[in-house]
Amino acid sequence: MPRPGRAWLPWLALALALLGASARAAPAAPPLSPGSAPTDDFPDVARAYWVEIDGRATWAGQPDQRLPMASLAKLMTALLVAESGRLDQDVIVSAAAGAATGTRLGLRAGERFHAADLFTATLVRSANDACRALADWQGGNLATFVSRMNARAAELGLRDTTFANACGHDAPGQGSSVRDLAKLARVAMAQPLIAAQVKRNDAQFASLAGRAFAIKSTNALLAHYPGTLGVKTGYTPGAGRCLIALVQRDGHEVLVVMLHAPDRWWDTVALIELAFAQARERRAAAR
Amino acid sequence: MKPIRPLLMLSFALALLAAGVVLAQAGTGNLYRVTSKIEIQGMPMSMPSQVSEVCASKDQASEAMVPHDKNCTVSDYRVAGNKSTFRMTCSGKDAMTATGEFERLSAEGYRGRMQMKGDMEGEPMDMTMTFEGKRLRDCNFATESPQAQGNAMLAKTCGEMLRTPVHGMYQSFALPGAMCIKEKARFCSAITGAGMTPGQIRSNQQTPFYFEALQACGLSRAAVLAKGCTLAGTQRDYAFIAEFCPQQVAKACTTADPAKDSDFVVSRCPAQAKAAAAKHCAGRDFTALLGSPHAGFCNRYAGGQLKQRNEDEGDRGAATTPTTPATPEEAPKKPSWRDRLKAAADTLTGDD
Repeated sequence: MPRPGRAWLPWLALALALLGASARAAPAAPPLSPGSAPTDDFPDVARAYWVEIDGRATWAGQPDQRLPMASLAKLMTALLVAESGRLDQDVIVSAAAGAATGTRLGLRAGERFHAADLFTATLVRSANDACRALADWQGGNLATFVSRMNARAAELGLRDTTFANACGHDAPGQGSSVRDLAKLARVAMAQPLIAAQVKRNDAQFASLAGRAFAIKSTNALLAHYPGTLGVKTGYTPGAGRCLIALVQRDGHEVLVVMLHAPDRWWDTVALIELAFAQARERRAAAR
Repeated sequence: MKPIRPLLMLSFALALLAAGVVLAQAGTGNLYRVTSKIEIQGMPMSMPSQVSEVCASKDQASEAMVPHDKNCTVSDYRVAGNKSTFRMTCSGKDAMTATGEFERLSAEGYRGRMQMKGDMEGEPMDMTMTFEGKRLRDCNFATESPQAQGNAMLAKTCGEMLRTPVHGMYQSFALPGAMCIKEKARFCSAITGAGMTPGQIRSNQQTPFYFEALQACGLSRAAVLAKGCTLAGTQRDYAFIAEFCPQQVAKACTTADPAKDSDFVVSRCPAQAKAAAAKHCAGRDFTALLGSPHAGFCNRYAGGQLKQRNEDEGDRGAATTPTTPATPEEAPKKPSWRDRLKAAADTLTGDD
């Protein structure tokens, strides 16, 4: 059926062509379709896991199950400390921090440090004594600091997350879901102070008295997996091996959260590889 | 009807604007200032009057002055007093008819009207043009006539397009009857001269009309890819072979290096990948591969293994008990001493 109302268009186009206009418009790429709910394609990698590709939740298993989170809790501790804006101050190591168990630097009660150095040790080495020192200093005592952690979690809408301590020790009331942890990781990585630390593979610092420390990151991906931006490891007997990893490659970004992942490094790497493959497929399909 | 016909039509219309008066004066043409107005049926707004200067031949007193292509015929050219009329019929793809008349008002001016009806790319077209000309002075018809100027403008346009040739222009340069067909050789030289290495083919194949343009220049898609595949084999461009040369994949698998060509080996060479994984990845702790040239391969292989592992799980049913995931290997992983020490440390120290 002819459309007489548009019959002049070819002539107008011809006139433009005669004026020397050479149109070379590239076809616009269609926008990506809105994300659908993540699917549980890899149920055996962890007790709960979450994979985002370019901000879109793609795969997840038990996304809302509350589980122990081990040292991933330190992300909330670091967030509160970073948001306090007091990292230029000095900290005296509390007695409780000096007695902290698990991964530790061996800080001594009464020893003084720059808060920024303890912040680095908390995020890079996952040091429980540095973490506890910061919590006691920031909150005045652990209970006050933990209540602030819970208030911030509520503020962020982390419905399945509560804290019983600052550094991730197994304890009743200490738990989170991979969905919540993904959200927490995003918020934390938006803090430049945190983003700058979690990508460090090692660090050196000293107490104010001059005792030197050299630490290496607990995040094996930083040294072994190109494009890794951080963010945090965790392990306790109750939580198993945990990991939040953020990786960028070829213009794509993948976030993985694993709780109780028996083979967290290989399986996280495998998930990231598959995620990037899917990102490439999405891009090709959009062309 | 040839694609160039619209151009002829416009130059024809422009010629008509100045064809009403034939005066025996010095010079080969008369220069007229012509005021014209075009109305196109169906166009939502009216077009404003146009003023132009047109050089018309002093000798054009017959139908010969009407430019037309081989599918068009001019008929009923009649002169009655100061008035001339004609009819033109074009057959073919975009058939149309035109009727025109012009009237000499004095030795120094004329006016007229022309109506064109037909189809343009399947759309009905009905255009009426009225015009009035006033003589300004003598002119050189050979260089200043609308047809000459149209040809010059076309040549200039084609030349400017050739300054930055892109494949999408092939319809203007390389198809039979194209507006810039005279420049086809230069255009084809430009788009094929950029070379057809695997890298160039890969980067260009997403550009619009890449293969169509090469085809119009005499190079089929198959010929282009054959050339690219030959080069890819020599250059060991396995990404290109994987994408464009399926017949070469098996041979390429025998030469690909898992450490350097991990994407290709993992995705296209299952037997080689399995053998390499058994040799370089199996039983290794993730952190033990630091500095290994096969670390990238093992990472990629792990992705494939995870996918297969879960597809197999899915095939057996979702209710199966999760097994301890293995490293990228077929045999169950035996913990390394490093793993055992680490596990012991974890038990002793708690968090990491």
